[in-house]
Amino acid sequence: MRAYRVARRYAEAVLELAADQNQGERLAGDLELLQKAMKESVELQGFLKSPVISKEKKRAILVSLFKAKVDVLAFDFLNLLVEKGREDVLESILVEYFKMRDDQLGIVTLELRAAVDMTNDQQLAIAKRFEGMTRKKIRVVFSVEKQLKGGFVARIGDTVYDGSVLRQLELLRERFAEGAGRN
Amino acid sequence: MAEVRPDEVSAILRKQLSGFERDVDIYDVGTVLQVGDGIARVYGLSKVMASELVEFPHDVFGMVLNVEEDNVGCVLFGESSFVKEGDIVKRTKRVASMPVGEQMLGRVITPLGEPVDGKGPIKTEKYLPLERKALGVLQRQPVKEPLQTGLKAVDAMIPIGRGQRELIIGDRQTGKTAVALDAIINQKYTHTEKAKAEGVKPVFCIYVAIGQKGSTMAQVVAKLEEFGAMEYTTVIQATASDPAPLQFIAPYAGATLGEFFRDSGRHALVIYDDLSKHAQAYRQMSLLLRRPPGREAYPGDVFYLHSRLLERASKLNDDLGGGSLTALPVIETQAGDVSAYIPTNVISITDGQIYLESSLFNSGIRPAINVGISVSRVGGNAQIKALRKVAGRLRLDLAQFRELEAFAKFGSDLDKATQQQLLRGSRLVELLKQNQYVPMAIEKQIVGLFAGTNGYLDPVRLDDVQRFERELLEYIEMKYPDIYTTISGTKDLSEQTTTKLHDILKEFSGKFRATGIAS
Repeated sequence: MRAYRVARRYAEAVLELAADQNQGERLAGDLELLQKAMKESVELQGFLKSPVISKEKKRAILVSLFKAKVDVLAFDFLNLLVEKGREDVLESILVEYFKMRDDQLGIVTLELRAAVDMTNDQQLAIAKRFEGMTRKKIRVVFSVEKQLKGGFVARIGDTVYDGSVLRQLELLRERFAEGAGRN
Repeated sequence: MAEVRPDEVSAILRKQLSGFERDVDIYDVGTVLQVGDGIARVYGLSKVMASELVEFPHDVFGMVLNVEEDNVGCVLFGESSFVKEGDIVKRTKRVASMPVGEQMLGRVITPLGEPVDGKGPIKTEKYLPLERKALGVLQRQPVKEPLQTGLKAVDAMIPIGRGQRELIIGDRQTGKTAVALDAIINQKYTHTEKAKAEGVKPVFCIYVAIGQKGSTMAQVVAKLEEFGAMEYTTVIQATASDPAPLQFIAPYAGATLGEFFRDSGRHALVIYDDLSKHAQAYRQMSLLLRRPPGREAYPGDVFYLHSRLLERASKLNDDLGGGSLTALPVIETQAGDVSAYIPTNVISITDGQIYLESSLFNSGIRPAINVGISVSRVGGNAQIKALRKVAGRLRLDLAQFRELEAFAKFGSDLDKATQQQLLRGSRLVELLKQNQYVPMAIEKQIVGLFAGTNGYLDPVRLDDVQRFERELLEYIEMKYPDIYTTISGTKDLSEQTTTKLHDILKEFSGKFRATGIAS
């Protein structure tokens, strides 16, 4: 939980620097690569988090792993983290970075959950509606949740637009419970 | 209440079902990061307001208290064992509030307005927020009507007015709750037609129990029902087994309900029993919310905690209806230490205090009020003229008696004047003793005190003083009842009445000495 504050600062720094140098897209690509690597390799995660491996060793290994694959900015960023001793927070930093990148590009993630599968067209239609409301570009993350019984639930940031049958049933239940209590 | 007909239910259901596609519920959410000890930390809830109510799964509610950079700290009003990490938390978009109305009278409720007396749900029209700003100077007027507690020691020398805050402070088991309960029971009179005729307005009572034992609460409610006080009383309870956040908001709930009566031109009395436990519950919550501890580990704003609560007790000016809210907070001291943190805080906030001492209690003086250091800053303004005339002498006599008490042990080695003062003082102390649950009407108090301060008790044996008073009051009730009606009607002791009283007392004293054992 406490990692957010630290992560946000590093993410902000590298994001702004990239914007200044006009390298925004290149950096995003590199960090995506990094995030993928972290997700796929448990050893990499463990390596970064380990307090017993010395700074020099970490730096050397990072050179061999990434120097050829990413641009200068991304690589320097990695080195900075090792120097500051914050390489264990890399995961959170990447999460915060992509959040801020979305903000920068005016993209908002829409979490869409529905009871049955929806076609791309259907999903786009909903996304379009929200685009109108939020005036931002919508990226849809879709998943099926049978529990909803019908309808869909759309979540943007912290606000939920709940049009599911499950919710209506819950509200009905509350209303009847209230009425029953009165008797 | 009419039964719900079967077709009515399906009709509603059909209506709901047809509205399905159109109704989309929009709410703001957060995710629980950490939960424990009655506190939950939530990620998200970006638009939440401070002190807003939020809903956890399984019908557990919470209140937002800390809005921090990366999380929101909420206190839970229910079992924290139902809440898990990762649970979704919804905003209710309303600041903590409780239902208010006359329907609350006669009920025992939680600080959130839910009944716990098993007498069915309560339906009210209005909801008022728990935290409200106290009124400013312009909306108030000075306290001028008395709130009779029915206790001779209090009404005579530490009179309480409607709209005042009077602290009841003492060690454990000194009779603090007893004083409060007697005050409630005595308000029964204000709801009678006789009181209305005399211009005495009814007082509605609210008893807030904070952190008390469930068994004590049951006894209190039983006693109030026994004396018919529950008709005009609401009991708000947050017992010792309730989570600290509920104990924290309990007094504010009492103040809110009291303000409902006050703002509608009526009078209310609210008793906070007790604020020491309230401060402890608040300390528990603040420490768990990681707020920095101050003196005695209490958070820095513990003074504000009580001051904003007690400032809500006031007397409104006539434009706003002339209603009032009187507060009787209770504080428990440890070993008589009134200079500890919380007691000194509350003493400086209230308009006076009633000190109850263990030593007095143990030597048989009950109520164990130390009249010397108890004070009411409203004083004579809250007394009817008749009582003021009698009480002036009383205070003086008792003060002189206390000074000489140490010499009492020398007995006959003292001069006549000192002996007389000791005699008078001891009779008055005996007169002020009173049993629990027998609050005395004001006119009877006046007659009794008149007898005491004018020396009619001096020849009576110490053991007989209580019997003298009892028989005197019965005597007057039987032979001269108009004395009582005159005093309570005019609220004054005219020359005529005074002379008459002297005559009656001489008459009665003659009779009494005959039946009692010669002193």
